Amino acid sequence: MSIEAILIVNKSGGLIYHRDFNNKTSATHLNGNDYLILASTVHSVFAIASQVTPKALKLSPPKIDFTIPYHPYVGVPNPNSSNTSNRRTVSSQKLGSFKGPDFFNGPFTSWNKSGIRQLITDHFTMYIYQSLTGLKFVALGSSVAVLGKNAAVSNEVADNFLRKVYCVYSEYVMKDPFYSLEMPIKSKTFDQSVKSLVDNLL
Amino acid sequence: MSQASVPGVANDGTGAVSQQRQYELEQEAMPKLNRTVFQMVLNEIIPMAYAVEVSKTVQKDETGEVAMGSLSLESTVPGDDNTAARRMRSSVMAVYNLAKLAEEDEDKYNSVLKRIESLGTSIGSKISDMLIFAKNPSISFKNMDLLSVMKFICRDVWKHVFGKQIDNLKTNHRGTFYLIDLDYAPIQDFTVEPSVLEEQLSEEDLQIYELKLVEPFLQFPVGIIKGVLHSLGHPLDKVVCLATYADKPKEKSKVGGFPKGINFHVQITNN
Amino acid sequence: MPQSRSSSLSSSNPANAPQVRHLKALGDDTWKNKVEKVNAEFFHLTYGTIVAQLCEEYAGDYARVNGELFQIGYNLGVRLIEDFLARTALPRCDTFLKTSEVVSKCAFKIFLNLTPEVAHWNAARDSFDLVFGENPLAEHVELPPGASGQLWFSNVLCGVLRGALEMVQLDCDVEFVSDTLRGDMSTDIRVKLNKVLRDEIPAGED
Repeated sequence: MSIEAILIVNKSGGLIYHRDFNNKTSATHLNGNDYLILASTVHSVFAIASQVTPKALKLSPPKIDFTIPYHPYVGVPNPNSSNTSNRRTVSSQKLGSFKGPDFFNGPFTSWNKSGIRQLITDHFTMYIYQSLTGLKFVALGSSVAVLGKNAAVSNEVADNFLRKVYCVYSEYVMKDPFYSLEMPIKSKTFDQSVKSLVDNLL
Repeated sequence: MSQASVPGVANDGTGAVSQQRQYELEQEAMPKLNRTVFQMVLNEIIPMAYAVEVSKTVQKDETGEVAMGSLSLESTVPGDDNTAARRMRSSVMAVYNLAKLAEEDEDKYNSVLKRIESLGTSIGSKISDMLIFAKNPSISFKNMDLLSVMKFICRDVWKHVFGKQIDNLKTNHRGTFYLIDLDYAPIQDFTVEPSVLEEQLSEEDLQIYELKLVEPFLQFPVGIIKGVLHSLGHPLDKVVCLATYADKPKEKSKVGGFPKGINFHVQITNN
Repeated sequence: MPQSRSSSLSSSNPANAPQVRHLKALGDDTWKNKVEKVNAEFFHLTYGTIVAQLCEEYAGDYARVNGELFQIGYNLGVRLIEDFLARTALPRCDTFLKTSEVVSKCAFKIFLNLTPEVAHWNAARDSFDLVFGENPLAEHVELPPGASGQLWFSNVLCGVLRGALEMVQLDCDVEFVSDTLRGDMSTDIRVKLNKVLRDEIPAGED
């Protein structure tokens, strides 16, 4: 999966971070305003989706397991790989105060129970990860996930990945006394870390 | 100016190594807490110093209207229904308002800076006691000359408080020292939010403004340095310490992180 | 407030034991391996100096000092909650009991390396106390004369809890009720749930 863009949407639907990663398709780039509209549309559609749950399901909710399995080393260099250049990157890779080779190392529960998690179209796939505090982390992937098991796995990988973006957010943006909640993120360290997460995904 | 080296611990024999190892084990066994919490509390000192200044201003103006003006802590950003965001914003605005204060009322601004510095001094003067009692075998406090004190600050004090040592120590061996920290830890994640500003600033002006905003934060380590010197026999009125920005050498500047290093110029007068 | 109440509310109930153990293990593991540490004495020194300076500046107006400490804590709380959630990814607590366990066994462990006891639940089960033996932020501290009846030395902790809980849509009143620095038997923080901020719960959670 290669990531085309990452967006972060705040609780009120405002866009607080956006970064494109694929420079090849500059002809189809949206401008800044379009991304703002995109963010608030995602926010609204996400909310609507959670309202659209059929009554039958509401009355007798099926036992869905919201646990997301852990996929090792998504977005961080794999220290066990035989690739020696990878190993060098691992030693210089600093996960800040998260220490260790990866941000976390176990399965976790998704907070997103009835909102949109994955949007599959013919041209791209969109993944959404929402934190308990209402922050939405959105990734646009260029590859198209095929429906079925493949889609589920790619969704899990995306959740692992977006949780790491959340970790990076808490690491670099929360410690900035000049940053106030819900405002656009301008931190270069954050930018750099997100970029290295994306680069390591390939 | 000659450059004094800031050596690490020398392994000069099995005796020294085992003493060092014992010290390390003792240090590991000491009660600890999350560095993030410590870091954030240090950062909160600045808005707090500003808030105290504001409340003192309000206290003085007992009669008539209190022209809060730029001292107002209320955020003026529209659409602020979210309580948490609003309350946090008023404290974040404090750091932006502080820079405005520098232009509007220099006395009050300096009073805030002094407050921040004196916090650092109080803490600095007690740190050496703490580190002495830790019995670090690589520090000997008997017959500590000025250079050794400065090395102690660069190595041990900085390592304990900020997590890393000072990068460079320069001296003229006559009471003047330059302590250069190229990546002063607490400010690495600071980024100015341009939309907060009232006018649009050019890229250059924005950078200058950013440096001005971060200045108050540097009063804290200035205070630490003065406090340590004070506790080791150099009274506060004999020490001048100023913090200025230093350019980073090309090899050191990485993407992200604060664009400048900090140069602490320390001048100690002897009688 | 329409919170689901499980019939077994005490954490000593064996049905809850594995959950509590899991929380404890998560807290311990994160603290040991996933957190940068600093010597506690530096923090106590810094915090104590801040309190002392505030007391001096406000010249005996301890209500204001308490307020300032609370505000500092609040700013910390709204930031630390993201760190906590990103690190642990714990699911939303479905009972206030669960909240108390997460706070006492996970959150305090990860940030302060402490695990206070949870006690003194009220009849309505919407208020609990976090019980510390000694005051957790006060090492060798003696309150200035006159402060004893009014200053809550570690009031920053109340601000932290209030801010953090508000970010996960729990409107709580948090305050000290006793302090060993004042000569009390233990140091207690009371956390009372006012209401769940239903309107602010992010879409997509049921």
